[in-house]
Amino acid sequence: MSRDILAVDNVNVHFGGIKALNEVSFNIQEGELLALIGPNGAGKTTLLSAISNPGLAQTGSISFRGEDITRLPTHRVNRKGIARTFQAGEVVRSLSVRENVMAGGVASSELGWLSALAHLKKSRAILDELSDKADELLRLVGLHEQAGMLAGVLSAGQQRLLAIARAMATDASLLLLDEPGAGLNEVEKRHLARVIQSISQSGKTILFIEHDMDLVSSVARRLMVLDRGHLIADGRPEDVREDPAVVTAYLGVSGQSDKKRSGRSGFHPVSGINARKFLAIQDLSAAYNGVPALNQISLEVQDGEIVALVGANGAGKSTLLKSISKIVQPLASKLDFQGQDLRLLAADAVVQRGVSLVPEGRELFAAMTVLDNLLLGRQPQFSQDAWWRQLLSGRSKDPKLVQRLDFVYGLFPILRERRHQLAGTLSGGQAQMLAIGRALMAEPRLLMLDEPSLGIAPQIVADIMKALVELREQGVTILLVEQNARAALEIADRGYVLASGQIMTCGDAMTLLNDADILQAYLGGGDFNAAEAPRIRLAS
Amino acid sequence: MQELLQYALSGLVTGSIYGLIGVGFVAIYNATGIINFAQGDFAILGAMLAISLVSVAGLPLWLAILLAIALVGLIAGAIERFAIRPAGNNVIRGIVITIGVGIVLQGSMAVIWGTDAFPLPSFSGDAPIRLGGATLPSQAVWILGIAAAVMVALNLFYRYSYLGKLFRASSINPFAAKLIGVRTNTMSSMSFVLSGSLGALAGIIVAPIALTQYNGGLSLGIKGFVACIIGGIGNPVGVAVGGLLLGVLEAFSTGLLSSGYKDAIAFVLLLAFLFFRPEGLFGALKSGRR
Amino acid sequence: MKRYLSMAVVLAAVCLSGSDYLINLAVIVGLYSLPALGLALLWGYTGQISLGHAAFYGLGAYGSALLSMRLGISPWLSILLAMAMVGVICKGIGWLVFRLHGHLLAMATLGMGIIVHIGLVEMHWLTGGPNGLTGVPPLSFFGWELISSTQVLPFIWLVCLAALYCSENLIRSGMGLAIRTVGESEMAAASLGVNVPGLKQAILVLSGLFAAASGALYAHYIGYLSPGPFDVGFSIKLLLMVAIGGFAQIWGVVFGVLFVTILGELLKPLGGYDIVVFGALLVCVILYCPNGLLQLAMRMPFKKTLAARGGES
Repeated sequence: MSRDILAVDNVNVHFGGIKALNEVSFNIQEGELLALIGPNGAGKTTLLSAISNPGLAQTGSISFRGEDITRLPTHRVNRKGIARTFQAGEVVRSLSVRENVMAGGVASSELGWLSALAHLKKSRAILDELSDKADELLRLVGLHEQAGMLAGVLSAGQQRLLAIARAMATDASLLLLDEPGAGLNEVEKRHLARVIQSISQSGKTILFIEHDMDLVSSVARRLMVLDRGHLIADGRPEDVREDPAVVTAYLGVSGQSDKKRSGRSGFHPVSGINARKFLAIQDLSAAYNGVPALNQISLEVQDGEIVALVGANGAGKSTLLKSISKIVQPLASKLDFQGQDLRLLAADAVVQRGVSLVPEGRELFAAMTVLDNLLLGRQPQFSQDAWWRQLLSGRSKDPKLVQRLDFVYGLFPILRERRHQLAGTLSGGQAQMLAIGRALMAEPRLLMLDEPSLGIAPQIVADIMKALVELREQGVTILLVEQNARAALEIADRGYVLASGQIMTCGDAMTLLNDADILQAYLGGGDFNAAEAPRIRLAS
Repeated sequence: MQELLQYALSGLVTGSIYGLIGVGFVAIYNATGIINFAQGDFAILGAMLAISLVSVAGLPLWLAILLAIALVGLIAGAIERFAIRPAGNNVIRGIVITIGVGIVLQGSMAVIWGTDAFPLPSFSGDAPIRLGGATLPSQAVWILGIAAAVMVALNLFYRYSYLGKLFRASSINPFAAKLIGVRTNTMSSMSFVLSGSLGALAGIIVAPIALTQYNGGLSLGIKGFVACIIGGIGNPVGVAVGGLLLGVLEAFSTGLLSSGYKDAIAFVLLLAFLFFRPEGLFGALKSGRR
Repeated sequence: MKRYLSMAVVLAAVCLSGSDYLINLAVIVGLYSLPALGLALLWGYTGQISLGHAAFYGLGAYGSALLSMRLGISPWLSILLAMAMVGVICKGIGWLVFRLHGHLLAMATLGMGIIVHIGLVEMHWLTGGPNGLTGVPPLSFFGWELISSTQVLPFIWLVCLAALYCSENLIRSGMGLAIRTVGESEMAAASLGVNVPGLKQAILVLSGLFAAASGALYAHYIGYLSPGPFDVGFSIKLLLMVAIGGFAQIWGVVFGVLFVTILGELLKPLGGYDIVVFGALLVCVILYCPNGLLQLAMRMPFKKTLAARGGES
């Protein structure tokens, strides 16, 4: 008979004013294998952290095998039987693979300082034991051939497997895995799935965070969905996938309540030599934080379009925008903007060429006023000024600046009202408007936005989308990354759907909006297989 | 009572120097996340250069001062370019490198100028000033005045000048600065130049009343750092207040206890704040390079 | 085992050579290797920077000297007592200081080092002030007083080799793996059940014991003490020794000490300016040879750690 191994009760976690976890409660039974999914910023990693380091929870309680662990420090929690892995792997690069795993077993061994210092028989015996156990675990995760190599030479995906083996060396009965599959290719993911299943079969309880729906579907028997700190679904994968709350959380809400889609409907891409290739990307691959994020992506944006990039998180959408901005250095056979090769340019030069990025999370200068933030947005123009002018003058009376400010205030009137307020005190929606306004100050030809609707009330999302349409009328080309696929596709001319670093499908926005396949791209299930999805390539 | 006033005033004088040194720390820390252990040596270097330019090259005082400040600024920029930038993002490496740089500066000064202590002529003669029963060298007025003027100028710079706003912005959110087209390397360089100049200025204005010696840098630098910790390193005004506080406490301890323990005051305060209130009285401490 | 034997042979040869220069050099290398070893364990392996290590050396020296002089006990006993005292101090310091990281930790340790130095200078009634203490009783072995370098050398190196032995054992053991995990990622180590604050304190205590032992031996060997050698400059020299030796190396530390000591000798004509070269060297080593000069000289790729099964490397 299985019993509860973990009971989480009404846990709340605050981080500086933001509620990362909100009244989260659930139980896990011994031997379960469950996945934790949810959109960006939902709080999944925070939940794992709260379980392994319960001090994070401001209220609520966590019990392990009936014992309250809420007051325990991390290492004591581990001693009780809970181990976790981290998104970044965190392996010791200067130790060998085997030694890394052995390190996991040290705390549970009975090694004392005295025997370590004096090299007593006990110390040697423990070392042998640790080594044997490590070899066993490495065989389990498929790394036994690399056992003697330095951990630093492993690929990111392999380092994650190593971290799993290391966590198991602690003899924990509950394993918390944070995105074990990030950056793995198809073959490696199938291997990972087998590893997770065999670990589960050996009696361990596993809770893992993942974005890859195929992986999740093939392995997990129970799915929990977090959205903005709330647990919104918890049950069998088939049931969760159909849950309307889950679908909404992933695909988003319509950005326009009852208004018909305005602007150019039925936009047909102009093909052949008549297409003005504004932004042309071919075979772009990029990694982020050492993890491969994009695999041979090709796409185009034409002058005056709004192109939406949608897909689940972990799909690589952010990395694509960062690659265009050269914040991340990609490899590509072509990365052209208005005929100029961006591949050799540094990030500041790209901004000078007229490509502005509104990043995920806004990234405002919180301790400075709205007006100052907008002023600084004009950096590409001001940096051409004489240095003494930049030094001595605030540049705030510059006529071109004033003109541009009026334009931005016209789009977002609330910014004019609050121009002397500190940016850090704005509400989420206002902050997003400011971030967009700041990017607009540089008079970009191409405006890229990364998840502008994240954490913003639907009405404000509608306002922002309206502003984007307005901008298109003014001749600004827009590349819009959104998890809220509905809102994005409603205003876009065309769309691309990304999953696992590749383009799944693309085409006319209206068509995509009504396509059931998109649902599958986000939530997996059935026989949806990344490698086999139909791909519509634009004629080039 | 007179004595107390004396202590307080002389404490304010030394305190404003500590504040100036501290603000130099802040400039570099905000741009690079590194604590520049060689900051005090910039001050000594500035003073030494000014002294030589006056006594050896025979330049008028004001010219020597300006040149010395400019030279130290340039040297600081070169240090950033060749010793700091190659170290990348690793904070500990950066710290140890600045320690090494400080030692090189110190040793070079000993080679060039020897181990003697040197004076710089007072800016306006030697006649002391009387203030409510306390006596101060005339240079003290210069020190207080210049330090205050520099603080005001910095404040105006950060608040009203476009370049100053850019500086502030780069330290508040380096990622966002990159997004709007700022080159982080340029910001780093400029912060070192600014910091070197501020340090040199501090060393020069105090040189007439405190003999300058090749190894004075470490002590000065640490006091400046203590000012940062007391005030909170994100906040130039806080740092200035921290410096003044430290100066006054030191002066009182010298007067009422013994002079040997004077230095210990700084360190005890340092440790107390580090252990119990690392963000300082006013500021929010950012932990290392973002 | 081979290393220890060859070391013993080298030392014997040095003693027999009769060269004062070599014998003194060997004594100094033996003395300095202890605090440097402790710093290597703390900084190179556990990742905690300490800019005040000279303080533990000085506390050990003065502690043992005063205990033996004021209480009239045998120097051997006072050495042990001084070590214990410094160990307790380290435990307390560790508790306070290791909640800090990066430059805050660096500053705190620097501050502490300077406070101790100031204390040694100012507390005339206890330490004799800037003039220091004279008449520190020498060590004695079965009635023979150990005064000359040749007489002291075997004992100093015995302690040094013992420390090297213990350190090697520690690093090769399971504990060493835990230590290195803490050095790389405290977060990961905690999640593996390692009591990170406790471990850091323990390493600090160990390195404090090494430094105190060395300082105490120094005191009874030289016979007089002044606060001079226990200042920030020495702390920084220790950093350099560890850096040149390769940060996370045990025997490499001895090389680092040897290198810096000989370099110091060569630079003697420059007088106090040898410090410039040391500073420049420190910068260069950090920037260009993160694995120390020894590795560079032997053209080895980053040394693989010792085999998991505790074999000889």
